[in-house]
Amino acid sequence: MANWKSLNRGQKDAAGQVFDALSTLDALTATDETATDAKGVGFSDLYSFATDPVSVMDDALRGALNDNERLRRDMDQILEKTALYHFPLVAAASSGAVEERDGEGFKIKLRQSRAESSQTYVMIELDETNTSQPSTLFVRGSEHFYGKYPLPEAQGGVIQLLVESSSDLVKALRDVHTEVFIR
Amino acid sequence: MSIATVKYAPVQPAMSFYNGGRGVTGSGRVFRMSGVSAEQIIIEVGKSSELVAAFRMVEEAGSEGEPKFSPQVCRDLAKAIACRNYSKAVLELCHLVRIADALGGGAGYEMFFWGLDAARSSGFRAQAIEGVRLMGGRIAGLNLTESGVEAVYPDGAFNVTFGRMPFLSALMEFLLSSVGYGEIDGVLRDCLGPGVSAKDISDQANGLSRLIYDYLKDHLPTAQNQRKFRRLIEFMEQKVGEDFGAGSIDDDVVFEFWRNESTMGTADGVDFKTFPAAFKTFVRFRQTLDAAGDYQALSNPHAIGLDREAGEIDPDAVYGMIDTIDEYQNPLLALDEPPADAIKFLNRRETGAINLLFECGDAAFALPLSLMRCEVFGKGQGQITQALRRKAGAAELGKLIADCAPESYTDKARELEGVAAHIDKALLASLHALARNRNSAAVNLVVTLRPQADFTRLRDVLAVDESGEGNVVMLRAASVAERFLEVVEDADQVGTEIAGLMNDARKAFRGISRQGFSDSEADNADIQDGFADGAATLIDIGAQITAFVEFLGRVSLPHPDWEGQFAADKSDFSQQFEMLYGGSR
Repeated sequence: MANWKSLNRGQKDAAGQVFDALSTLDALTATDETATDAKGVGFSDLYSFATDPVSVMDDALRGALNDNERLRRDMDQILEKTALYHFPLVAAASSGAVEERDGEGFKIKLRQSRAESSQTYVMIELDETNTSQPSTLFVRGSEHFYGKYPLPEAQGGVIQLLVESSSDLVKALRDVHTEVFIR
Repeated sequence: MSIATVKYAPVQPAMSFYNGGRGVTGSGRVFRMSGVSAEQIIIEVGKSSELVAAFRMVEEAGSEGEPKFSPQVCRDLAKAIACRNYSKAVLELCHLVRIADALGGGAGYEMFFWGLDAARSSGFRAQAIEGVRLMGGRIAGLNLTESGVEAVYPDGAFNVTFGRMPFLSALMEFLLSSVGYGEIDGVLRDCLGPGVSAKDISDQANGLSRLIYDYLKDHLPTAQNQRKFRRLIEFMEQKVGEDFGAGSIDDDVVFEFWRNESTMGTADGVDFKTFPAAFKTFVRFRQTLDAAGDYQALSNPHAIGLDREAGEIDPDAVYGMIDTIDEYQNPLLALDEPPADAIKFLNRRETGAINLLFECGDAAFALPLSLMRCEVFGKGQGQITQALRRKAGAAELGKLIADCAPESYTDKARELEGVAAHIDKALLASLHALARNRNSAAVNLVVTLRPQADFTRLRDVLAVDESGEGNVVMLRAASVAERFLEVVEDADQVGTEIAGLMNDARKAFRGISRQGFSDSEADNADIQDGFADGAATLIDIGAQITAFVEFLGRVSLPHPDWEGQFAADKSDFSQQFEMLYGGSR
């Protein structure tokens, strides 16, 4: 067993590096006794939200997206990557409310219900050439708002939702600052 | 626990000459933090906390309480990060991303990594088989092999094994939590698509390694660890002299260091306020010194690694050394790995009771009193700091400081004995589970559990006339095991000792109501493998606990016995806690 005094400079440096690695290992694997049961939000939560129809936006995810710009960038990227279609921001010329969004293979229209004026139809028209079957609509609004809405099956090439005109979905779709993803 | 004899000197009062490596001026103590400003230290600590948080994301990944990655995979990842030994894994990961993308049929490589709840090799194998099936039984550029998936390029091929995939998946999770999806995906997408060569993958892997290198350079707590290391060396030089080695570190040294350092504050980013922090640091310091003889190889100029000018050592060599030191943890981690993880051999309380012992490895036998102090007074100190966090009243805090230990050394030793006894019972139960299924692993277990048993009676039982002509021969090994297990409960054939053992085994099995210990579960083939593997691991764990408990009875203590030692230590710790926390009342 070598003594410290007998080690040369290189060996002492090597000892320092081994000690550093062991200490880092301990820091990484230590049990944090002050930690709460609340789990952090990571990429798996983002991926699940973006791809799993039953995964919903819970408070932890909402809070993390609100607080963490990098998570928002990651969420936007995974939404864009996994979407069948991505409607980017509406052209800057649009100043008022947006009633229609045109995209390649898709069109989104908002129409007030004649029977019930407090309700609005969200209609997603699929191009005849479009063979994909969308299941989820995501909106990414200003103020870090992310909405996720399951879509019913298309009837005659149109997916139709009837929602309250004051709902977050309608507000978001009317907002020029909202991006829309269909998956 | 037997009474120990007094051998070495009682704990000395705090050293008067050692001041934790800080300089002292006439006006009092000044901090000499190697030219590092307080602001820099705050940034350092913040950065290393980010790294720890990113690693936590890997540990916490999973759904419905089930972790995605096993403790062994997480520990391997922690070692790779700590030793900066990730280049080879990153190359494998880049190949795996290409494989995953091809298997996903357009769904993206992410589906392969995040489509599974638990990252196990069996799950990845199933995903790969299903991916190939969905693509019509053949994917250009991929070969499904028995052990993994081979990516084929115009200029070569690369095989990623299923066994390696859980680790690579954990590495991916860590990269996205630390560096970020945007940057990582930016590199990985160049591994995809047609026309990519093995050389291209290698280039992307180098790019990814550079990203990781830059991140870790900013986030690893290297500077803090170096300051810690220097403090330990300065302390040992002052206490023992320059000629110190691993053997110079004893319980007295650890206690004295803590008494001095615990009151020094954390202004230089190094914190020894708690006894467990000081003890665990000394365990690592001791292991570092213990391995000093091997540093000749590490400091060999031919082994210089990534940044020669900075004097960095080959990460592979550092990793090898850390891996060897860390081997003591393996038995506990192995119980959480398939197939043993299908059986609840140890619950959280039992694992918690023996964790520190296995963290320490050999050092437990060099620093037994420190280990017991850490277990007993470390818990007490934890209760005090928790009380402070929840702003407990002065009376409660005063009582916690005065009591300062939720259990005595004797209680702790009994707890260890209790876990050892439970392991004996779990081994017996495993024997029953294996024997009732004629699993040959039961034979080894019988011999392990009753090494002194008289097996001579078995000679007749295991000898048969295979030729039918009166030529009695011994059966082949597999047949011997089978025959033995057929008769193992029959006292007339195997003797009362073995039959009694089997009777005890049956009772033990019936007496444990935990996952895996039921007739219906035990007969499952996967659970059988779990009992076979788990029992072999439990034997090692039980032996280590028993050896330590027996050793405790032989330890030479400053006081006549463990009870007397506890009483004396309680007074010392209470006094120190009063100094550290009494002002908060």
